[in-house]
Amino acid sequence: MPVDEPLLQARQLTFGYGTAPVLQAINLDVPRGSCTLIRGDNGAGKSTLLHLLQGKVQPTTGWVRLSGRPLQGQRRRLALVPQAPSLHWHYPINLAGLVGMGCNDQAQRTDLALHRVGLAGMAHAPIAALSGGQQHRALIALALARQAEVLLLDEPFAALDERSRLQLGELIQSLVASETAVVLTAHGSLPSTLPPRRVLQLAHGQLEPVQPAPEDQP
Amino acid sequence: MSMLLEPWWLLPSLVAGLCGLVCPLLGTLLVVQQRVLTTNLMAYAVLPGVVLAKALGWPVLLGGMGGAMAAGLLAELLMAKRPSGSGQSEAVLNTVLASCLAVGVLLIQALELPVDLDGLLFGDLLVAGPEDLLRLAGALLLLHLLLHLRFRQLQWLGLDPDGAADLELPLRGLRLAMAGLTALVVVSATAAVGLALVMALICAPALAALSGATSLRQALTKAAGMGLTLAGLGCSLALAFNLPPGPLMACCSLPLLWLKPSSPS
Repeated sequence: MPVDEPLLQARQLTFGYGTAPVLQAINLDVPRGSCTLIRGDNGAGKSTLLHLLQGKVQPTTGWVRLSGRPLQGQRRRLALVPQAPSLHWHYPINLAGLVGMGCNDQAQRTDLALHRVGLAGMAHAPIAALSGGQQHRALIALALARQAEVLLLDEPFAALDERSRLQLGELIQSLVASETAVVLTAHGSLPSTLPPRRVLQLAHGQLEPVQPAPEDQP
Repeated sequence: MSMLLEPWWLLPSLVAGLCGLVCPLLGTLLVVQQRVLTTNLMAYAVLPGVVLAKALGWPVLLGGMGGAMAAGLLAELLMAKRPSGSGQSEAVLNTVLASCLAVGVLLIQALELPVDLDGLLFGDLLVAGPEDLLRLAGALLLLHLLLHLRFRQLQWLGLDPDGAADLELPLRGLRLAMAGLTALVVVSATAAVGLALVMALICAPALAALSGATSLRQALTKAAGMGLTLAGLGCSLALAFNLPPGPLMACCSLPLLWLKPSSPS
């Protein structure tokens, strides 16, 4: 990969449900060690865009590349933490077991991932006992254990209390500092601990760079 | 004393014991993978397969497994375009189940075959033969192999199939293997508990074992223990009261559902 080539690239991404287009000719470059914030109203297509970037959904036209190559065969380098995780939280497994599934139960990587998300003290708790905020952090720990290079966070601050929002902002800051590319969506206020970021507005199927709003300023 | 001199009960007891072991083990995987309704459909779809096999002179195992797999595939195809979580999938599954049962009954009447419908539906351990024992032993061996070789992928399949797809794990083959194993177990358990009652032995110990279990391995071990206990209890009661052991095992499984479910998040 050339030095100046973005880690994740999307070109001319178009997608729609039925005949109604949701996203039209989206272009996006995500460099390594960056934070990209996608703003937009409910139903603007933010989650759909993240699913397209992750390769879970195929675009009608356009493409997504990771390190200059198609996503197929390297999707494990990306991790999406959805707003409503599909994970079965009543599955008989504790938190360390869940996170360990991302790294073949390597104890050191599991411990480190749990420590970074602030859940080291709950390693042996069943995942059914986690609160909503802890569930999101557990999924981020799983992504860290997988050593995902691109982290896609869908409305990560929704339904979090202020303390959890600050902690998650700090975590994202440390991820960006360690060269992880973070793309997140939001439509409300953001914690002050988030790192400097590029802000894009998704409206009417178009993605446009915008001047950061006061609440988007670090 | 006569029971020791004439151990007619030995083979049926071994069949019941193996059935009590293999059904809950498989059932634990099926419950966490949310495949119980499909399994119930496959159990009933064994009937037309067995009837056809008898009519054509094919092995019963082949016919039963073919019927179960074909019905499972048909249901998957019919459910594919329907919205998930709408209840429509359950409706499709139950309709296919009823249709399979109806086809089986109609085939028996139309072909005028000497099929023991009661035995197929509710089991008859007294007519169990060494081939039933071998089938169950084979199913247990295959299940053990699958658990040994694909434990991590089985965990992903139950915990987060979407996440597993993101990791590009080869889940299609694993799902097919699980379907084949399910068909084999259901057909093999016919002698002990029958097609209609096998779900009790598949589900109840699994549900009880999953209550408070902290790992899948722990749940599997507990389910196997409870299944063996159920089989032993059913056979003992059958001997004591001269009643059919299959329905007794199914009845004895009901109290297991009163065990405390896992705590909500």
